Amino acid sequence: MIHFIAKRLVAMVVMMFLISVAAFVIIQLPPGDFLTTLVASMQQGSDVSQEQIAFLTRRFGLDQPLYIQYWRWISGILLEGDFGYSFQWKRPVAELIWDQLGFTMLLSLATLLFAWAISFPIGVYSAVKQYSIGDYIVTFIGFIGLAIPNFLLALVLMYIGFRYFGQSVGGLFSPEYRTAPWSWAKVWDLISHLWIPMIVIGAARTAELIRIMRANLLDELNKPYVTTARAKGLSEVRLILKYPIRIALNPFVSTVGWVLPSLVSGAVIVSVVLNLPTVGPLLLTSLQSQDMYLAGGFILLLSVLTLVGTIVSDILLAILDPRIRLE
Amino acid sequence: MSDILLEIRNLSTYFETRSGVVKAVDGLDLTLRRNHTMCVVGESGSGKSMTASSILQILKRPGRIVSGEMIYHFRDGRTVDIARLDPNSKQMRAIRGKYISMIFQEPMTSMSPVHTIGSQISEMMLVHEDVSKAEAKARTIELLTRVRIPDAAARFSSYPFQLSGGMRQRAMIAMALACRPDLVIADEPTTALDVTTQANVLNLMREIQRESGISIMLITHDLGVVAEVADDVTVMYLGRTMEQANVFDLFNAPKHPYTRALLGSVPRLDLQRGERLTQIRGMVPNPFARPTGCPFVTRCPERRFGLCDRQEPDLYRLDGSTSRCFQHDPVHAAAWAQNDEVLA
Ligand SMILES: Nc1ncnc2c1ncn2[C@@H]1O[C@H](COP(=O)(O)OP(=O)(O)OP(=O)(O)O)[C@@H](O)[C@H]1O
Ligand SMILES: [Mg+2]
Repeated sequence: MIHFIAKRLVAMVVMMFLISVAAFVIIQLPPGDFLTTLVASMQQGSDVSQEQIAFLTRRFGLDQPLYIQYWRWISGILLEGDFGYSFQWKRPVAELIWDQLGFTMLLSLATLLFAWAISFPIGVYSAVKQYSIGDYIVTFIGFIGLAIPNFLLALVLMYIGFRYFGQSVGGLFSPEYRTAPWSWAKVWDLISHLWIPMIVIGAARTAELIRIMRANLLDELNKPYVTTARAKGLSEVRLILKYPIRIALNPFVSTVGWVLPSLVSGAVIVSVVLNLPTVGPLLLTSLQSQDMYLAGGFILLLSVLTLVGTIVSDILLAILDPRIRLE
Repeated sequence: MSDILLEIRNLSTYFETRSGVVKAVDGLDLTLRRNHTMCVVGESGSGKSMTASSILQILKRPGRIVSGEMIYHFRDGRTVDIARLDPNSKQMRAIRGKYISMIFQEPMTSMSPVHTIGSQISEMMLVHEDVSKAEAKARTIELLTRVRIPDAAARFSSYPFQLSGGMRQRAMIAMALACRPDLVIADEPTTALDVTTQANVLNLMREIQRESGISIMLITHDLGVVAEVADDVTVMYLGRTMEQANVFDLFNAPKHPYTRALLGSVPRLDLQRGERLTQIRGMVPNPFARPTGCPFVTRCPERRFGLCDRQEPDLYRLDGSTSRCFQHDPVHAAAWAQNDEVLA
């Protein structure tokens, strides 16, 4: 097990290096560079001073060859937690990112837990009661969940939330709490705002997980080891919980790895519609406006988080399945 | 204590599928004696595995026992008709594993890949007996030693994929023996193994049978194995018993034409292990197109038209054995006495 984890960690470090290079290349790709953009904006009467330009040029080695620029950038991140400067927002990138990333992670986790909590029992039910009326209903609802576009669901739920629950819709906080310091009331306000994006972003995922769980468990239920367990005299509930479900759990665990990237890529529109402070919209605007350090920082961090998610799911899988652990 | 362990009378197990009813077991009779080995033979599809599943009531849907009885005799003289028990009932579960256990064909897929063999074996004791985990573990290690798994204590925490095929099947045997059952059903337990390992596993089963006085119902295609281990033999065809006899009678004087066909023209007791059933002319009928009259009539070299294709013969009792053929019916036996009768 230790060997297994060590191997994964080494691979992760290598991957992270490659990703950082890729992220750097991506932010260098668009024509023109940071300096020219700055100078151009100065001419438009922006308040960036000559000294500031000189400082940034030195700080990031913008007049140096690319590999030195890369080194400056990555070492700043690794050693000082300095992700560079967002031209558009006129703030250090690090500040911007941590704000948004916190909420993104919160929303991702909440969504993942929501999707798990709903899809696990339903998937198990519809597999164990295959072809029952309940199974048909669940499957039908699942297909609807997959088919409805997210933004539509978002609008409908916002309407319901507004019309019937009198909620301020959009965003993660009511206006009065938006800038207020953290308190229990604010936490509660957050929770009451969280359910809409959670359902919207999690609906398709939940439907998908139900189908995965159902298909997997159906497969496992027909395996000979289940018959063996039955022949041992175990009760049906006990044997299903102990054997096939245990094995059908694997695809669930692997979803930990892909929840982040899909939330960022798939939920941008939803975030825009729901006005959520997640990284999706911010990443989108930073790419549009060539805000290179902001975009680079995002890409880097999201990739790293994805990688971490993958490793966490790998380790969980190894704990669950000795065939992986003892390969 | 009765000499009889399990009496199966007229057992029928059907699969009601969309395309029709598959009569997997169709009026089967079979008697298992305490402390004896019964081999069940018959071509593929004759319902051997479904008979085994019926006895434990572990049929897959839509399989269902539709009629018949299976009288099980407990050691204390009580009896129970297994066919009448609800498959999900407590009584049925109490019989599975504790009184009747099963060894499956594929030890690899028949054991959970993510649980240690030790836990899978000791689970049996924990389910049926009032033992502590530590006791169950100690007994499991004892069992593993008994089925000659080297370094049993270490193997307790091995996973099935870490053992060789033969070791896995030994572990499976240990599991079947965990609660000291009266009957062990083994469905082609050695088919997945190589020849040497087959021999070892069979010897082990025979030895255990002798030592602990269990009954074994062994399903096999291998007549060499039958000659070697069987006390009694049941020959099945299309879900029915065609002949039941003790092993000497079966090989020396097979009563039923189907048995004779299975054994080939020359019945021998000196069959080697690995020798398969001889090919019989024709094909096993499609399960949806069962012949009228005797099930074997479409392929029988000794059939008499006008009789065998019209009526179904009973299972006739001869001394010590039974056979389902009109030849043994005093009323019809004459038809076979004259050799000049047209053979079909
Ligand atoms: N799930 C099922 N649905 C429909 N028919 C089935 C099902 N399972 C088995 N059968 C049928 O039951 C009959 C008996 O099958 P069984 O497996 O008992 O044969 P067998 O004697 O064990 O054959 P083999 O020697 O190949 O193992 C076959 O005709 C088979 O097609
Ligand atoms: Mg079979």
